[in-house]
Amino acid sequence: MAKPYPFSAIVGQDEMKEALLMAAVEPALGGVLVFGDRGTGKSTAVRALAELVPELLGTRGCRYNCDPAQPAEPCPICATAPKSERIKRRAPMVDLPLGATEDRVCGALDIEKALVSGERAFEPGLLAKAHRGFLYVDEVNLLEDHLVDLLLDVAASGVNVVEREGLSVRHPARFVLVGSGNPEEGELRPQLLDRFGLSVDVASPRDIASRIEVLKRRDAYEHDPDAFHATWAKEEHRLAARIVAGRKTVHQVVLSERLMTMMAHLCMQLGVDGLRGELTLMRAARAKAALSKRMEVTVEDVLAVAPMALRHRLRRDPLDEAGSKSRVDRAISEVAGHA
Amino acid sequence: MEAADPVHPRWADALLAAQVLVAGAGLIGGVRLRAGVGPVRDRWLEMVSLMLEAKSGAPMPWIRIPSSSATGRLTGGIDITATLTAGRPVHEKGLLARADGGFIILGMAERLPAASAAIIGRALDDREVTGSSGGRQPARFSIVALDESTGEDEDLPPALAERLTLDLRLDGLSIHDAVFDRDAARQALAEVLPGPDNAGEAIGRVRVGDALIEAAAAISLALPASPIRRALDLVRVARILAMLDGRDSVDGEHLTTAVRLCLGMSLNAAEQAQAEDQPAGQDQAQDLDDQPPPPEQPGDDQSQTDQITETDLSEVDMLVAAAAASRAVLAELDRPDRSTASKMARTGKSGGFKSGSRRGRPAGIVSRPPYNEARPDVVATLRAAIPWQRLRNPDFALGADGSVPQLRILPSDFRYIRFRHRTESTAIFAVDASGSTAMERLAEAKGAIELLLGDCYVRRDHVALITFRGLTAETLLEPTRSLVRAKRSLTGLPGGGPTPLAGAIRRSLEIAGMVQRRGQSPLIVYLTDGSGNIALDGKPDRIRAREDAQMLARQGAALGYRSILIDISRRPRETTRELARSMQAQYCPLPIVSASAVNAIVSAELQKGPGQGARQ
Repeated sequence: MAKPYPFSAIVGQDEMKEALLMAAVEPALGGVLVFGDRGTGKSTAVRALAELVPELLGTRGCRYNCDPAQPAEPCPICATAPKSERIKRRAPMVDLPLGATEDRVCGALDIEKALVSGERAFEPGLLAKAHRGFLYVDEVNLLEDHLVDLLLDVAASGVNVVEREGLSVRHPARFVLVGSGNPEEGELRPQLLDRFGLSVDVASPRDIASRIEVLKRRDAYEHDPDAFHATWAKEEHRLAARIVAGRKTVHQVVLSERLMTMMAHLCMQLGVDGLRGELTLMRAARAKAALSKRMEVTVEDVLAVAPMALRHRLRRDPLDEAGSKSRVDRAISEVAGHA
Repeated sequence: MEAADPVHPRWADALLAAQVLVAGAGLIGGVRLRAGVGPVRDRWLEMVSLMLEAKSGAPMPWIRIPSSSATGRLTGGIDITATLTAGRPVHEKGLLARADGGFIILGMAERLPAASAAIIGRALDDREVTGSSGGRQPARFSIVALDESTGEDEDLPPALAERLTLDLRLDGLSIHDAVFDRDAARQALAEVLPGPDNAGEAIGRVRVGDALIEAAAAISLALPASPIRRALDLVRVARILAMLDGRDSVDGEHLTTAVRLCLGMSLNAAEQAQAEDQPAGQDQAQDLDDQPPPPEQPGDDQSQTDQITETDLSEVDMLVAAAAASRAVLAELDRPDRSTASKMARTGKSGGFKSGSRRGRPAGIVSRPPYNEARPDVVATLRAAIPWQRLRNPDFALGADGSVPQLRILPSDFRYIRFRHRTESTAIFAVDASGSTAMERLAEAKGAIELLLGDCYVRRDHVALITFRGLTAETLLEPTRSLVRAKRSLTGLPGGGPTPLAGAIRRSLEIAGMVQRRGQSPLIVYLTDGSGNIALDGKPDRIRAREDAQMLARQGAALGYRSILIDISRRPRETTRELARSMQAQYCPLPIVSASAVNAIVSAELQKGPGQGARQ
């Protein structure tokens, strides 16, 4: 495949871009769900993101994408021969196709090995492949529920456990889950919605100037991808540097007591069940501050991330005509008034 | 072509579309060919394949994919025969990878399931396909989607429709219009095309001025859902047209033609709108976007790439105005799209399960065939058999000479893929709003329905609403999942007048039939007191009315639709019970209509799933 369209060249869609960058900085956020119209650059943005993330250190021949410091137990290379040759590779961006079977996702018995040497070996699946990278599910709302359940389970625990065909394997599978879809074609169950860290809505640009810009850039990219990449290289490097810097500092970012109280108020105001809302809000605010190269979370950070961290967690009254966005906005303005 | 015999303008467009399609093969998504089965369509397809051959000088892949193809076949999988002969898994190319460099003919594209459409759409975006084994293969193809949909209740899955560049309508063309000279067509294409490999480059060399890009953006913004892909398509097709013309830059004429070919907009409608009320059109364009493409801004101060003459500019302007003016046409285009919003949700989360289905998505592996004639899944079977090979055959190993090991597979190893296919339910409410159902009862019924709607929403059911009062039954709400719309139509529901019960039953049966054709299971819920007094022909005749209602009720029962009759009269009568019996409906007298009671009845029935209802 040719080099994907550069991330920084995507016109508009700032909220989506910001959410994806935050997820790249703080993988513990729990992934991003992008819902919206077709043809708004959802897939483009996700694919471009993988190019920005720093390369990973791995071991040659390793099929589990092991971190050399913490090799996966079933990995025949990293676990048995720790002194193997180290290589650098791109952070994986794994596409989960809609028709994928459970075998393919979790991994299964390696037929070839079993046939040839009679060995009962495990063939890692997409989850292992996505370890330390991104797993992208386009049309997540059309995916079979049992697969979505499985994905979210693994995404939450970071471990893939396979118990089948006499195999008993567990290997780490920590990835950033990115889902996208068009809500008109079917919605996600509320339980599943809640598992995603951030949720953003995208729409196609309504003003003619940005549409023209989209057309021109896309045209330039299709005409000569290499030249286009050269034009945007500087911008891309800058973004990549922001991600690297953000990853280093995100865990040292200070969050004041006062802001934590404000977050709790916000969640209570909106009637968000459970603590996942607060936790995500906290992590997202930290990621946002780290991305802006600050060491302390500000009120603005919290207010900026609140809509994307909370809007999909509201208990929805199906007959309420007001969108969830406006409810979040209302709660924000109330809480912000107090704070 | 236009020389001697005047060619039918639409066929001329069809010829042009074929040229664009072939010239842009592998670069553009493809064409949505709206036409019934017939010689015109066949001729058009033949023409495309001939042109393709002329372009590449060799037969190119021309793969027909039925809409019911399993997703695994699209992406590729294990080749059964080769695997068994070789004794190791052999992967075969999927249909999409095999179509690389050529065309995919998608038969009955309106029946394509959303999952398949998503896979094809992905392959169109990436120009490659990821097989089930994880290998990537190039798949540069274009699609000819044969769209045979007739009514509003059928449409292409949006994931596919939005990626099809051209929109071509052959309906209504007679075979006599469809003239084409094979040799001439071949030659014409061979002359202008730069050869199979550098078509992309040649198209890329064609320049597009800024004013035209602005026009394309403005037009796409005027379209119903303002899809930006359409703007890209317009520019791309205009370029191909310019290349076919042997020009090195796009002019307004090319863009006009591109609009016609891509948007399926009838040329006449656009032109008429342009001729008749151009000033009005201008105004609308002004309303439409705050900054319409500035017509005075000359192209020559940009760079040399802008070689747009005055006439071109005014053409562009007229084009945008026409596009805006013919918004009626556009609204027409939009309608199927909007109805798909509810319809395309074929994979809803509730509704009857069809276990033992032959289609749907794989939902696990079982050791017993899920339906007759089920074929074992090779991979799963091998996986089940392999652990036992050493026991069954102590010599099992690869010999030093590299001989292939003998697998011993017993019937107990056979594994099958179980498919699960969900059908959605659609609850059709037929609400009696006549005078005999006293006003306050109507209010109660409304409350009950609102509650049900909320519930249906949670279960991802669709809802349709029919009311009957006065002389006719009226469909207030086509099957939808939009609660907002349902709620709105309920609030405005007036009451009073006689009771055209028979008409209501007939309308319900019609909708139920439509729902069933979509593969969903209908459930009709009548909320009435059963005392119909308007016959089918609209005459007030109590006896005829009852006979008509009975007749239609039996018809519904014969068709096997599940129904519930909720009797909301104060004093339940035997005739109503009789009617329920005729339609084999569940009869629930509910002298005190409470929302929760109605909800409980309907929910219980919906959860029972299809096939357990009326027929028993």
